[in-house]
Formats: sequence, structure tokens, C-alpha cells
Amino acid sequence: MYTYDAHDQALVDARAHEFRDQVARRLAGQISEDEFKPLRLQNGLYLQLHAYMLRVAIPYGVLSADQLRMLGFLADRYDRGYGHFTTRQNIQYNWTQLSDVADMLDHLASVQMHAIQTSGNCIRNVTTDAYAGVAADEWIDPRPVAELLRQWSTLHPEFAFLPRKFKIAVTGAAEDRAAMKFHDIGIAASLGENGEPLFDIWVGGGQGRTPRVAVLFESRVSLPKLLPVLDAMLRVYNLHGRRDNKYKARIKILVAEMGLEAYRDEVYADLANRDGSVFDEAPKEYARIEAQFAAAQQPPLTPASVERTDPAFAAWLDENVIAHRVEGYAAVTISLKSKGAIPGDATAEQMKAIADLAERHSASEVRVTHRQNLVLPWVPQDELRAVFDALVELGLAEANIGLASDIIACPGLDYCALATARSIPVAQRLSIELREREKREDLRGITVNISGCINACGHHHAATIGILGLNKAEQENYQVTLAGRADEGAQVGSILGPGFDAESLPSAIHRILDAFQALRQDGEDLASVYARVGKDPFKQAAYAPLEQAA
Amino acid sequence: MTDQTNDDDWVLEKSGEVKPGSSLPGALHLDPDTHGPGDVPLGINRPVLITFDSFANGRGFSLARQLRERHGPSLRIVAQGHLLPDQARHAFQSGFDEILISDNALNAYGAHAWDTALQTAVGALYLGEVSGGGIWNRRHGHELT
Repeated sequence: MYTYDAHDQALVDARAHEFRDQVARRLAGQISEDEFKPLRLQNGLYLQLHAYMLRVAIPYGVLSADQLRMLGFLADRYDRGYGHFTTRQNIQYNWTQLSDVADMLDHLASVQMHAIQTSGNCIRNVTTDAYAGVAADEWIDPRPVAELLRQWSTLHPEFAFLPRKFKIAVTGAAEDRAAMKFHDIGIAASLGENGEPLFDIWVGGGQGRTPRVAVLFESRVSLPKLLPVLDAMLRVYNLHGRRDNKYKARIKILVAEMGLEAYRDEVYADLANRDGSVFDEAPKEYARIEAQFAAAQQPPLTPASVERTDPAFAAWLDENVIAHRVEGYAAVTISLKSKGAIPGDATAEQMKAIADLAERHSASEVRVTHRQNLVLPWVPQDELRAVFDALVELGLAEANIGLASDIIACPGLDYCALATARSIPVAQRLSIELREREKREDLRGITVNISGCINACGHHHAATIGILGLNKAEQENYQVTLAGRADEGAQVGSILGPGFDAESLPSAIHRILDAFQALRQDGEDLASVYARVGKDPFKQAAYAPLEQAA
Repeated sequence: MTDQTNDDDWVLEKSGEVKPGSSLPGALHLDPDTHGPGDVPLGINRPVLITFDSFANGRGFSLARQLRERHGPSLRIVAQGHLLPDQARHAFQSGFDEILISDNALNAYGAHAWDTALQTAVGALYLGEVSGGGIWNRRHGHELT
């Protein structure tokens, strides 16, 4: 993985020092809360319903064992003993004190971590495939370009006060495991004929109240052109993006209102008037970063046969372990979605124990997935049983990765100042019921994502079964969407009909699943069934008992 | 776009020093919400004054960068309006030469905050400017002076 040199460390140390000064001036009353807000947000600090929330960056979801151990330490020392892993591969602490944050940042800096640009109207933490460098279907490791983008965007002076937040994701494999097309800019990396990296740039994706799948801006962009093009794309957005209405301020609206061709013309007009020499060193920097990741790849091992006689272990192998591109290894996904659990939450003890496991069995490396789970990316095949046994002891051996109970949920009204309904209790109840159902039937490929408001942090638009919590006449009400997809065939889910109250929602979800199983042909997934039969059969199933009762 | 005489009282220079007020008779005044780089003729020999209507509106940073790229180091680009001391580094790193500070802004944020605005800010970024600097240039042995 990428390791800081003195330059990286000096920058992060300086940013921590700068934020300490900003907090001191706020506490002294020298800057107003309005003025402090963008400063704290650019360092990941939100004011939530009950307390400050600090979001810590986990660049492209990669953690060392020492870094994860530090996250556990912070949860213990400064929070209530747990943290929440997010859909953008970061971690949030929901109960921090403003006066502690500067100390937390110093602790983070000591293990090459920070909270830079994890919120605010700036370029956010760059995300990627949690299985980067280990997935069997990978064309090119996306982490080097993700790190290059991290460096380019970090404290970029021109793009710190954009019209709205700006999210970038990178993929490098056949399967999109990073929801790339639901980002402001998505980058699909591949290899050219001579082994050089090439990049397809997508623009204008996003969720929120106006969900959009990104459109192709340009294909096969070379490495030397990549940053100049991205810089110009951001500049045109900064200059022309709307600032009169925050709900129309994302780049997806600019591209839709300008038209893709006009937007592209503006970008290339800007490029034509630039001195691009500031980007001259980018290819060398990419090569330096790439060499670090290559050096961290593990040598092949002799493949081991894994005994599958224990049904629980066999089920875990089937659901939570994927093929590795390097002989002799497997990638293990640790589910943070056990029955009744809060999706993405991990206790300090669990984080420290997983850090220990990573040291013993995974080249000291851990990943955070877009679906709020953790990955041990380098487990020797003959150590899988030992990892499973350790996870059973920790209560983290739920064999449900990629099943319906592997639910994404935002913090919702339990924490978030923007939320209109609770997400967590809904997720907890559904996880219990769906896990029971999974014992009887195949629910692979069903994604259940829950958002507590229209901002869609729980990615409900991109789920096969999306749940959006709203406030209807002071009652929590849950709207269901169907057939969304976050993968390479990304599409926005369709609203099924009127919402359900919290009590009747789970049974409605079961009826939708019943309809899916009855309509399914030849192992079709839900999106395929929906595309074939349309909304009506699902709608009839979901609402029939309610209509009968009425 | 109007010619304007500036009545601000202090100026923060790129060196980090705050000096008593600067008058800019004949400056070309630009509003980043309505003006673009095409409004500044090549070869112009008077300062350009870009106004920030709100600290949250970062268009002025992009406009300054465009002007610096097109006109080179000879054009004097000055910021005024609602900027925080914390944004001084953004302004200078985006191509501004000076920031005008009103008496109100000096008092609101405290003279100390302006005096130390560049001391507490992060100075060395990865990407340099056309004139040099930047971590990448240093790493790869191409730092310009």
C-alpha cells in the first residue's frame, strides 16, 4: 500500500496544525459558526443532532493494521466505543467533542491518516473497488490513479469552495464494485495495447433528490492528459455551476442544463488557454505510486485444498470469500451485517481484533467496501479456517455478503440533522427477517439499501430494493424503489407507489420478494425480472393486502 | 465591469505581511459571477480587482487562475470582499497578488488572524504553480525557483 514520505507527512501535520488554530479561533468567538462551518466541514467535522461527528478519510478504502488499530483507539478514547464505516469507504465517529478534534487529528497524523475533505463543497475522498489489486477480474489496479487523484485534489486552492460537494470514484475491473457511475466523475481505468493506462471519464452521476447515471465524457484518455482534463472539468463546474439553489448545484444539473456537448466544449476551450506544465510531473508521480503498490503485492503460494465438511464454514466460504488473482490466496469479506446489527458499525474491540487478524493472516492490510463491510485481502488459502474461527469468536462470521441481509443504511434520524426518518431500526429488523429467509431461499444479488432522507446517503436509488424514509404528516413513511443497480449496468430504481409505515414495511418487502421468486426464470436477478414484467406484478403483490383491508 | 477606486484600508501581501491601505485608482473591477477572462484585454497595464460576494463562492479563485495563466506574472490581480483569513492561501495559490482587507474584516477576525494567515496555512501542495514549487516538482527534481 501507499506509504507517506516526508512531504506527505508534512502536509498532513500542517493541516492538523491549521485546524487546531481554526478551532481555537472558533472557541474564542473570533469566527462565527457560519464562517467556521465550511472550515470544519473541509476537515470532516459535522454538527449532527446530538453532537459533532468526525468523518475520517480512508483513501480508496485501504487501511494498514496499525491504522485500523488507531481507529479503534479513537473510538475508545473519544467516542462511545464504536465507529461507523460509510458507503464512501470512510469511518464516522458520532459522539465527538469539538475540543477533542484537534487531538484526534494529531493521533491520525501519527499513522498517516487525516480527515481532509471528507465533507464540504470540495473534492471528497476518492473511492475505488475494495478488491483492487486482488480481484480476479481486474484489468488494472485502480489504486495508483486513486492516490494520484488524492494528491492532486488535496487542498487544491481553486476547488475548495465549489458550488457543492464533488465525488470521484475509480474502477479497473470488469465488474464495477465502486458505484462509479453514481459519482460526479467516474473513471474506468483499463490497459492500452502497449500496457499503458487509459481512462474512460464519466460525468454527472449522483443520487440525492435528482438521481442520475453518469454519461461518458471522453474515452481512452492517456495518463498525461488525465489531470489536465479533470482540472478543466472542475474549473468549468466551479465557474458555471449554480449557486442560487443548493439542490441544483451538483455537476449533474450543470451537465443536464448545458448539455454534454456544450460542457465538453467549455472544458476544451479552457484547456486550450492553459499552460499545462504544472501537470508535467504527474506521470512520474504515477509511476512512483504504482511501484509502491506493486512492491506490496504478495508472492504466489502453493494452492491449498480447503476442507468443507463443516456446513457453517462452507457457507462462509461460499458467501464471504472470493477468488484471488494471485495463486494461493483468497480475499475474505468480514460482514458488518450480522442479524440485528447496525450496518457498518464496528466496536473498538472488533477493530483492534481485526487489525490483529490482518497482521497474522492478511499482510497487515484491510479494506473498507462500498457496502460497509471490511475485507482481508491477502489471506493464504490454508489459513482460511483459522480466520473463520477467529471471526466466529468475534461475532463477525455472518455468511451473508452479497445477500439481501447485507444491507446498506445511512445513520438516519438517530444521528443525522438532515434525516426525515430513522434508517437503523428498519435495517436491524429487516436484517433479522431476511437472514431467516435466506436460510430457505436464494437471495443472492438482492441489494437492500436504506436512506433516511432524500439526500440518499444510503444509496436507495441504486438498490434492487431501495427504501427511502420520509416524514409524512409527522409520521415516518418509507417509499420503496425497485430495480436500481450500482454496478456496470447502473440504473436508477423506479418508485413502486405510495409509502409504507414502519410497521407494515417489512411485510411489504417480503411480498415483493415472494413476487420476485414466483416470477423469476432461470436464475434471473430482480432487475432482469422487473425489466421483463414491469412494475405491476410487484405493485399488486406489495399493496394487495392493504387494498383488501381498505 | 466598472473602473473603481478602492476604499479598503489594509492589504495582505503574498509575503504574509499586512500593510496599511492601498488605493487602486483605475483598477478594472470584475465580478466573477458575470465576468470572464475574456473581459480583460491582453496587454492591460492596470490592476484587476476581483470581488468575492461571499466566502462560500469560490468562482473568484478560478477566474484569478485563468487570468494568471493567460496574462502571466505581469498582471496585478487583487482580491477584495468577503474572504476569511483562512482563504488567504487559496487566493495566493490561485494567482492573486494581494488581498484588500476592510477595517471591518480586520476587526471581525482579529488582526492576529490576518497577520498569521499564511503561517498557519498549509503552504506546500502537491501541484505547483506555473512559476514552480509543489511537492511533485521537488520529488522529481524539477523545482523551479
